[in-house]
Amino acid sequence: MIEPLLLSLRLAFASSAILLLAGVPLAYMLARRQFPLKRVLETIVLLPLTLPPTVLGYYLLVSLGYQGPLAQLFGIELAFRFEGLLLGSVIFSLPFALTAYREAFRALDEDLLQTARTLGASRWRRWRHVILPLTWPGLLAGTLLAFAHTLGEFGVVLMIGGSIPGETRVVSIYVYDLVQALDFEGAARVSGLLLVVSFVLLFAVRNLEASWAGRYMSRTESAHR
Amino acid sequence: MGRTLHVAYRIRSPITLDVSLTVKGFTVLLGRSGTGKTTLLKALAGLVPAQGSPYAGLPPERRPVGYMPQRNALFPHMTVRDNVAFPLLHLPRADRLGRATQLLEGMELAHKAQALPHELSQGQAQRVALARALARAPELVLLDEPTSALDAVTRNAVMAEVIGKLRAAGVPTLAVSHDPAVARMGDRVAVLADGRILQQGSPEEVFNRPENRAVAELVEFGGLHPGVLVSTGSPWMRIRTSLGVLRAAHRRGLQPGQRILWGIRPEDVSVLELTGEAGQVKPDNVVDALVGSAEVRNGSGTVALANPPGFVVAVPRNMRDRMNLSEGSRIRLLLEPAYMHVMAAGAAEQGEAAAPSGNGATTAERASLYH
Repeated sequence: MIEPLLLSLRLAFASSAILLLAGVPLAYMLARRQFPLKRVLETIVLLPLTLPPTVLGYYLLVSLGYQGPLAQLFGIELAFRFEGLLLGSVIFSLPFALTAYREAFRALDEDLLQTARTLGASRWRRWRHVILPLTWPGLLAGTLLAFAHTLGEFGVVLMIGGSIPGETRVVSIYVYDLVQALDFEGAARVSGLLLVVSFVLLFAVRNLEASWAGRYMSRTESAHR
Repeated sequence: MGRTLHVAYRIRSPITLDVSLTVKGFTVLLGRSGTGKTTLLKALAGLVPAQGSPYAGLPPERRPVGYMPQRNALFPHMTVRDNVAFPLLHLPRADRLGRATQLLEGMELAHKAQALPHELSQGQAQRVALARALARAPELVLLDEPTSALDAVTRNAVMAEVIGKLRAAGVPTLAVSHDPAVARMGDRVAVLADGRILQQGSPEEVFNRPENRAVAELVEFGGLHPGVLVSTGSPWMRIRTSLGVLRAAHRRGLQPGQRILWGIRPEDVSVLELTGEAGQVKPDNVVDALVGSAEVRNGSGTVALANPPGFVVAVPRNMRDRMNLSEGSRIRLLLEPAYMHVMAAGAAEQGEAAAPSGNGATTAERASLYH
């Protein structure tokens, strides 16, 4: 039980970190800038929400497999490997993280950013002293959500990762294998643990959102909202 | 009053503006909402693209201006002192906090240094924002609707204080407002409409001698009535009106026989006791007229004449009651010639297109006077 659990945690940490680094700039652009084909991009990043995980997994499998374009052109074959799993997880959890990040950035008061510029603050200072301090609860909530979502992922993993112990057999696959082998006692232990972990993560997300909404609300501000 | 700054800006988007004005002391840009006042301020701060001088082409970070948006935009997560120190981030920590404390002392807010913005009153928040805007020693301070975040009760006191601080700092300030009361508190007023400055000068000049109808309405001058110029001459001209031939303050550029509009601020009309017999025009611009209605508006009494329409006189309630003024009663007025303001009818029509007037003269009345 330890090996699949550690693998799941490693996958969840890695994909959350990638989502945080890549998703924050992308979400900021989507929330506050206008550019051509913005709606198309918004739709594409939301696609994993509605596509069946098996469909997403299928496309990943054919593009990452040994006959896929990556393998043919660069000799990179990611299917049935941890890296392939990671890419799949990032894409699959992207809408969750991105939506939370985008809401955090949308709630930023434009006046604050403009005033910061007139007060001489460079882009770096605006991020460091204004944007991040005001949006971090939203960014953290989105990242935790993506983390929990990655832990619970099954279909995409099954399609592109299979069930190679130590490489691609994550905890959700492990439960499936246990049930297939009629080991209901083992499945119960692992499932119970996952249930607790998911509850704690979502509870943390919910608390972050609530505390964030109530922060800095003042008499004067609320009178103008 | 300190330095003078000439602003000449041309803006194409989001609204078309072609503006040239002088900022000296506390200058108020007066205009209705939606005329581009805020856009002009943002352009001066570098937040909206524009051509002209000063500063055009510089990014907002490098312009020597202190910009205060409508709701002050204090950073809600920083203490008051950190807010004021924010523009000084390039200085070592001790220096910038020391300077911030100094600035707060100047605003009598040193005791609030550790407070968060939402713990401040509106007036305090405004002074913190002002301290922050002054921290980089700007050449020009920009205030966007400075009274919009203030309660009606404390508004005038807070504004007087803000203006006092700015005068003490000696920085020219451009404040935009739709409120004539704010404009009256300034050293200078510029009136914006139709994408350009219609008139600028001292409040005394702009409020009492508006150049056209649009300005007259913005400064709440009162009704404008048609008439014909009879004779020019300094200091007095003579005009023919529906109240008879009256004297008015001299104004250049008008020819005898020309159609004019005339008016007088409601509070500049004196109400006289009715003595002797009713007459037509008395000497020295004393006229008798009929009251159309007497009512209380904004807490002060006003009397509107039956003729000319739109002619309003400010009458304190006690005087109205003592003289028993109501619809149909006779009233004797002194229209002090120095306060009688005349403008060319043509100039007024320009403004009329932009701001149709409800209290103008009827067509029939015009026709009878002009011929």
